[in-house]
Amino acid sequence: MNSFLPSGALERSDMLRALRLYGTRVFLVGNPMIFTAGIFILLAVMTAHELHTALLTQSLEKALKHSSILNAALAATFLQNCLQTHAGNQIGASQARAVPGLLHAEARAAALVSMVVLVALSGLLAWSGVPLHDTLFYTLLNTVPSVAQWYAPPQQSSRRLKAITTLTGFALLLGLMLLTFTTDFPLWALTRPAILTVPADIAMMGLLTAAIMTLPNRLHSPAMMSPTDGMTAPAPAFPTPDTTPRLVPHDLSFYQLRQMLLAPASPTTLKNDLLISLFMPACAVMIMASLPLGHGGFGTRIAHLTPGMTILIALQDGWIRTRTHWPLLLTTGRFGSRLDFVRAVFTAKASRVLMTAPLRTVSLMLPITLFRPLAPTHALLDGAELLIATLGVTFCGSLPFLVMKQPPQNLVVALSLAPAFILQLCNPFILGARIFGPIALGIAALGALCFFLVPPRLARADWPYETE
Amino acid sequence: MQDRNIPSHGAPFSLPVEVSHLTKSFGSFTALDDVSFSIAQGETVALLGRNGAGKSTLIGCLMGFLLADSGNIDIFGHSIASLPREIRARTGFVPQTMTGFGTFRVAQLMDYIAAFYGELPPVDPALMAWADLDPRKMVRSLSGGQKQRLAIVLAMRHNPEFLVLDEPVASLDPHARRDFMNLLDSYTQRTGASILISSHILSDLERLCSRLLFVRQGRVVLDVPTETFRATTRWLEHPTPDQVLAALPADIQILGQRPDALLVHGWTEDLALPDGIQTVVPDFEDAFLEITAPRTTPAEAETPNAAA
Repeated sequence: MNSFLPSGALERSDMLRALRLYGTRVFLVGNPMIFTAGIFILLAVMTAHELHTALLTQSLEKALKHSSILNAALAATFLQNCLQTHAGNQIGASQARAVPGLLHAEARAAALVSMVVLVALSGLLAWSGVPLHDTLFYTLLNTVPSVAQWYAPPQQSSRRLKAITTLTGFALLLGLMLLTFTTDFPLWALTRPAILTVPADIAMMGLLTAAIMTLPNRLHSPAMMSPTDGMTAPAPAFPTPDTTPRLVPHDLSFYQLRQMLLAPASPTTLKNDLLISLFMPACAVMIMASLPLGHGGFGTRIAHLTPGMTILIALQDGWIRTRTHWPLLLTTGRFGSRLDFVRAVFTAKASRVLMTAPLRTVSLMLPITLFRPLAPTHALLDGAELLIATLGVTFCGSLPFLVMKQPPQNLVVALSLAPAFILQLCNPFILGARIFGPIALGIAALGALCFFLVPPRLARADWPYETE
Repeated sequence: MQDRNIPSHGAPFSLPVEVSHLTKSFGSFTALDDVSFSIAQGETVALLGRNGAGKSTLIGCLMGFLLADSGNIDIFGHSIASLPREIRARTGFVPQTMTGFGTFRVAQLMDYIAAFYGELPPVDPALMAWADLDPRKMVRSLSGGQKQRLAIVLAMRHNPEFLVLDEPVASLDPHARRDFMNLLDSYTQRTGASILISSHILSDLERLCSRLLFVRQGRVVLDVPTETFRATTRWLEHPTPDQVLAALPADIQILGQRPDALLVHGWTEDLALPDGIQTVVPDFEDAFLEITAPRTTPAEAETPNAAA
């Protein structure tokens, strides 16, 4: 009986039970990043194999130039994300804290799995011939943004904390991408002496473990039981102008209506979206190119950076993933039948992307055209191809609905993200306009297919209702 | 072999719950203000109050989810701040709504949670029959009411000696609610467990609970056995309640006031009252509304005899 076990043995048996969950569907189901992580693990295996083969005949520096070591880093990031989702589900449960030992068992299991995963990924890279302490150093450095996410799981934390954590995580990720694309950071990380990397590995592992082990305290912090939700102020004796109900409904503008259809939970207004589209890609490229990192002049650095930045114009929000508001909006009767409603959502997304995608493309193309400089016809062709591909990518996330009535959430997430990552690795700057042209047309055709064929399928499927 | 379900830890004669001078604030808002009470073995205590009165905060502190600013909470003689695992295993908690564990199947989750309590006797068939859950269903696919039934099963599966229920029946249908109250009644009779239950279904609480704990604006304003409450709480109807107030003995507690009546606690058959007063047995809901109605001035809020 458990009560007779010494506490150490009891904790071990608790942790083993929690660990076993990682081998069951409890871990796999409802973990939206699992497919994406799987894809990047496969890519990491391919990268390790490429490196292994290349290192037989070349130096590490040359081998890294022709392989995408970033895949391993992204695999580590997405795996951390999967672990966060799983641990958050159990540790954040309303009854979890009342069950003796559960919180610590889950946190210990998550910390252990996290370490094993990182060591395994590093081992995979070490197969190429690079020392394990160096590959671990590189993998751990790339996991730093995930540590920020462990510190405040987005689904549970307060809005302010969530914003701070998201920004910190994004800044760290951007910093790492900047280092990866503009400098020889991977080469630097993979060639450090053991005297530096071993203590750093231990310190970073410690930081990650501490972040995971303290997760129960944060998920069940007093802030989460704030009394203000249920508080009621004494009712005023007479209705004041503020409390008098408005009888005349106020009409929504064309753009507000479309905003509601796309993402009422976390709206980015059209104005903000246009501003972001206009300035963000250009600013990101210019800022990174201005930093004294990497080789060559400003124009060379911009040329080196731009291919990696195509992700900024193609990355999708959760417009097709977040559908919990659909039933409510449908019942307003404003959009007509179910089919009309889904078409309205797709049309709203299309109109939004038709406004923002050209701005994003121009914004990305401008620095490379001006500072590289690029011939205007060349720039126009590259930009047009990118724009066509971006428009297509927007609707690729809805592809699973073509073949399944209720596709798993993780598949939808994977197909929303994957095209943007593909576009990052395969764009006119890397492949050349002639080769990329047909690819862009193919992506656009796929997007158009989704735009026309998915709405009738979605109109006949169940919509999210009363789900967590 | 020692049975997990027999009280075996902590001080042998310690009360299941002892709360003294508990205070808890969130920023400048005082959610609990100098709250003291205890719960004896076998007692079923109703926690009554309006939304935002401090019930959930009190429950959060009692379960150790929230840290009190000052005061003490002892569970089976152990401070909640350092509750040993074996004492925690003697408690159970039903939240207002069940969240998390969505990707488990029902049977899988029950086994998983049960394993943290060690070897347990078979599940009470009456509990399982009441819950009526498909063991193969995934938790996230259950309806709100089914999830709540699962939360109740998880909390009672290990036969806790002290069970805390935070509005457990809000999402249950009337059949499930009535059956659950009967089940809870037979559970306390069978095991001698102590229960603290918060709910807005007053008729259930009046029938089930042996004691009533009224909370208003973070303070316990009335802590009384249900029978005593029924026997000694009365409306004293008179056109000028202020005159009645002046004539009442000092040990009579004023719980509320209407333009034509006073709600008093401590009434007895032989209480000498001025002529012309009509004594009326209050409806439980009316009494609740009167006792828990917010007081607008700090002086009123501070005293139980707020209307006086």
